[in-house]
Amino acid sequence: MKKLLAVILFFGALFWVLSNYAGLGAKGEFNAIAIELKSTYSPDALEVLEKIKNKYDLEINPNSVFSQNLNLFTLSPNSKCTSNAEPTKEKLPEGTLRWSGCTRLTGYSDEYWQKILAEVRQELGKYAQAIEPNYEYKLDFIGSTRPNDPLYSRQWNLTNINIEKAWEKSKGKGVVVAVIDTGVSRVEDLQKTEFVKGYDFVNDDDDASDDNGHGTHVAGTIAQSTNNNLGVAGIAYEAKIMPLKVLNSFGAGTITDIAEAIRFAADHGANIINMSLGGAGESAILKEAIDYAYNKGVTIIAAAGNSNYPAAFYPARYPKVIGVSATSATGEKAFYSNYGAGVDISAPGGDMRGADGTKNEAGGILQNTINREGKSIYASFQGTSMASPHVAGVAALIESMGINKPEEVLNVLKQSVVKIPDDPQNFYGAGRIDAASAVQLASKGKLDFLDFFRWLRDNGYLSPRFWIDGGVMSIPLKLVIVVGSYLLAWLLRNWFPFSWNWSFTNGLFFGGTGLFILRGFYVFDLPQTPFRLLGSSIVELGNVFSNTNALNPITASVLLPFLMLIFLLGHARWKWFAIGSAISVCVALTAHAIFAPEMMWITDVWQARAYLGVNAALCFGLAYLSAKSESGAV
Amino acid sequence: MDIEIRGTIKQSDLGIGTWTLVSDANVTYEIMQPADSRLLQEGLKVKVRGKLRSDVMTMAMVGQVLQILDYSILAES
Repeated sequence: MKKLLAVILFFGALFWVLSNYAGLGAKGEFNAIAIELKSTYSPDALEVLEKIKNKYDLEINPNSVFSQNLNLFTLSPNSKCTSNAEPTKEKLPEGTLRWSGCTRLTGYSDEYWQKILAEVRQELGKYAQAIEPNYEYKLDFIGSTRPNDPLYSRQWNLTNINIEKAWEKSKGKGVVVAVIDTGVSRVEDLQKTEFVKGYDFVNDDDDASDDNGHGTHVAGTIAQSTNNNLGVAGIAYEAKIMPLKVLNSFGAGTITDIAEAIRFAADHGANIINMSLGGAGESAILKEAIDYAYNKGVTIIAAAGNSNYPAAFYPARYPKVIGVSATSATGEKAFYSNYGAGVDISAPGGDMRGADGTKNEAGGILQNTINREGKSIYASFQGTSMASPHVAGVAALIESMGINKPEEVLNVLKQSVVKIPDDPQNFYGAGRIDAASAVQLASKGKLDFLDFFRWLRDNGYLSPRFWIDGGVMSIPLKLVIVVGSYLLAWLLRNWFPFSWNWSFTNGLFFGGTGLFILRGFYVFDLPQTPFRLLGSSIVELGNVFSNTNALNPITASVLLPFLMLIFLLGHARWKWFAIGSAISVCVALTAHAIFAPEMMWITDVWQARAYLGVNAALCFGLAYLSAKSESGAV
Repeated sequence: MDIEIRGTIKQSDLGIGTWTLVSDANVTYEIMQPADSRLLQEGLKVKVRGKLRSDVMTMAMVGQVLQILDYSILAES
């Protein structure tokens, strides 16, 4: 009896599995037809092909560069687009869509393709070796996750953050992202995205539709309907959007409405809040609302601001908010993005400056939104407003994997970035966001809370008014230079007894090290260059104005000590400053040659070392000779 | 607190786009809307009296929000 039951169960399970397994053939979605012509086809064949192409608005391509010799062609939808394609739902035969400004069809139905295929077979059969539907294999099945959204190829920003690999692990299921913005309208490419109830704080009603176009675009980056054969893709497309309208049709709103929306989100189950908005003014009401949501476990993300200012705007600037700066398609800080204090991480925001003042749409972030008349359009925007939802989307992928405390989400985000080794002005925060390594790290699960605090403290994020970024200067290197300078000075004094005076000590100090702590000192709202200047040694003066710690060969040489000696040697006290400087520059150049030979323009490490070494030797000679000639006078 | 600023009207194309007043000292202010359409012309040199609205936040985030109370046009672009 038991055996019989087991057999029934086995076959029952087998039947269930088989009936649910659609099989490869059943997933027969195809978006192109592959044609292999006979090697001796007549020119008529190409004419027939051309006729079919025109009839159905398709394009003919050799399958790849290698295909030409094999007479292998594909017939696929014509994909020539101008910018800002608008779906007009113009009826083409049998219910397909065409976008105006974009000749690409968003995809024929299966039946329609079958019809085209039949016609191709009939017309072209006699010339062809084979005519087959060019199946697009369901990607999850084979292990890739490239979505079928026709405009996905224009979303450089998604490739940039490594999204396809991230989708293998998470698509944001079960996470609610509140979009506090101009509202969100359910445009065609948000139809398959799940929404939860939101609120319109501007007009005080339940309908949080967009009347501007900004919020819908932002929501699209987070969770545009994806793999739906339409439009573009979004990052966490299985997450739910909570639309909260706080900005009016002009894109402005009051702090009280924003604070209320934050509390609403926290009270109605939002896991993440995205605020692609900001202002220069601080507000206790806003801060309290943020603390409230944070303590309820909501991860809060905001745009750093678009004024190329050396501190993030509020609310991005609050310690409990993840401030996001923007990068262009090349990964550089976007020209408009705020930076410095308050920036925690960077993400694609786009740069649409074209040559000669034209607008380069391809450099922006493309999503589905509405135009001024409320019609659905696909439009490219640039701004930290576009960068912030990238982080919100990736945060949703992370939370979907079971990491829910905001401090832990931030920890995963920051530790999984592509780090920028040389970022003294904090353009990028922890670095460039990387969705694939974020979900990879999140899947490891365990994160030590103490580690996170240690990390916060080490990177100087704990003080709200100013912070010192230990990563900017290499403290051990500076200590080597200080100690080395004093040792060398002591040695020289053994040879030529001179008095150790105030000027000499200062020379020793400024030549090699400077007030180096100031180089990594950030105060909110202050430009960072004066601090870098004050904090620079003679050797480092040449890189004060460039965003790098690589040494400038002009200042990292014997030149300045030499000039100082020429001009100051006649002065009783300042000459000692010059001699001291020469000694410490010598030590600094030696230390850099050994430990940190990064230089501008000289990219080869050994050439840089040779350059620094030769100049160090010259500095030593200079110090030696001048100390020798001067010591008699003291 | 009212302030008086001389500067040039410029359109910013960040995000959806917004109107700004760039002062002669090169500080960018975002003009709070709605504002008089006669004022919103690229390159217009103006003198405005306005109020800084630190209680307002925007999607453009290009500078402090300036509510214009009064203005006079100094020169067309």
